[in-house]
Amino acid sequence: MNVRAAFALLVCALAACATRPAGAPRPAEPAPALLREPTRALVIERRELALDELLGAWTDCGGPDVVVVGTEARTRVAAARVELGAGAAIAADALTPVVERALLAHELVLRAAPGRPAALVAVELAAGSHARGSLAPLTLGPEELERAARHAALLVRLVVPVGARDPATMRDSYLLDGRERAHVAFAPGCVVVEGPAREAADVGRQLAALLSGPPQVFTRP
Amino acid sequence: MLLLPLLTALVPFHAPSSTGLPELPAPKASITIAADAKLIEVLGALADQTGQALVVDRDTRALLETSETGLLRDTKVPAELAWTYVESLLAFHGAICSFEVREAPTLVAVRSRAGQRTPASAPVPLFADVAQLAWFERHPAFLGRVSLELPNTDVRQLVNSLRAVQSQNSAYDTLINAGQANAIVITGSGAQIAQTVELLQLVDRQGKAAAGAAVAPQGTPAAAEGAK
Repeated sequence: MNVRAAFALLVCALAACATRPAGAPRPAEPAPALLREPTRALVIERRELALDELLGAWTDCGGPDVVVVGTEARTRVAAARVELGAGAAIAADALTPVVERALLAHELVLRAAPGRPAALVAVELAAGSHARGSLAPLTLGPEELERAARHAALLVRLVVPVGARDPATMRDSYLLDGRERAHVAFAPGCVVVEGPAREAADVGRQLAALLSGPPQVFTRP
Repeated sequence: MLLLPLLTALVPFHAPSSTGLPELPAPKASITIAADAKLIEVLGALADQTGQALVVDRDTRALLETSETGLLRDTKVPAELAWTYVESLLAFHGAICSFEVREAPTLVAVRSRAGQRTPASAPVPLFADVAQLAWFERHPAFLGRVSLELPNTDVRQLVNSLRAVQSQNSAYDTLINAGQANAIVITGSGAQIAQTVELLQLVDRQGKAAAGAAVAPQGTPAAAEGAK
């Protein structure tokens, strides 16, 4: 490297330092997608597809590799049919929501392997997914609530901040709600909701709204 | 004098790699997994390509010999992702890995989670530091144990509360509060550890924010910070 080039490099580096004070955090990069996203549209040749054909097509279009786990899930995936408009095409960015809706309609969920975006997902029964200890659901912070809400069938654990009201006061009333898919843990300042992402996001938002604002003191009239 | 800061500004920052934990050898090339392959065949192919010694007990062998991967398509896995990918497949099917011998040449055991085990035949978790989390992210099926200090959280209350979202497989996945140290000891698969540490750190940050908001009068910078 000659002297002029080195000087130019030095000036560039100093300019970069000047725009970002020492110790200041680097600008936040957008977090990667949760799942590997399809890059090609799916052209539909038949009005009706088996669910395993749709899942295979999802992978072929650039989506994640799919593993079906468990005999019951495999039977369901092979037997389930998904109705689509023949002759049409599903755009690449619409394919994952279509797949996830079809899975949840048949009481199936997705569990992502490690990595963002996940290159491998497992399809398993929604019932009992909470108790399976194979791979923990993805953990997402409050800044990814909106992103989570775009996934109907992907299992996540969402941390949602709530107001100053004690979340523990909600525990009993919420457990009486009878929901099966979303599980809630209450912690100081936040709730942890585990379940299919959209439902978890809905539950998190609902609890955040209920618990927002300062603590209230009720007195009997 | 200026050269050193210049060079450090130009060189991208890399977190220190997880030192001290045994690294498994990567295959020399990408591996192909057939959709109809049995798990034992995938594991055998990985052992052949990497030279890593693997041991499987009788009950687990039965599981691996009868279980197909469940993949819907033949898959080509890049060499650098081979262990993560294959371990994910094993974990999805209820298997867990551990080191039987940690010193080179290492010996890795693969066990079914379902089997009943005596203490002598149970896998021993790999003790690690939170700074070594990257290793567990790369090895989602390895049984490990880390302790995590949570300065802003009542760990006893939190561990009780998290039972609602904690995996129910108490043989391998546990959260134990170390009350006086205000720390939580996490035992589980690599994926479980990585995700749980992230979860607990997020909860701890929210607890700190909530405490800040409760202490600071409304309208102060501290209250605004706590509300973020």
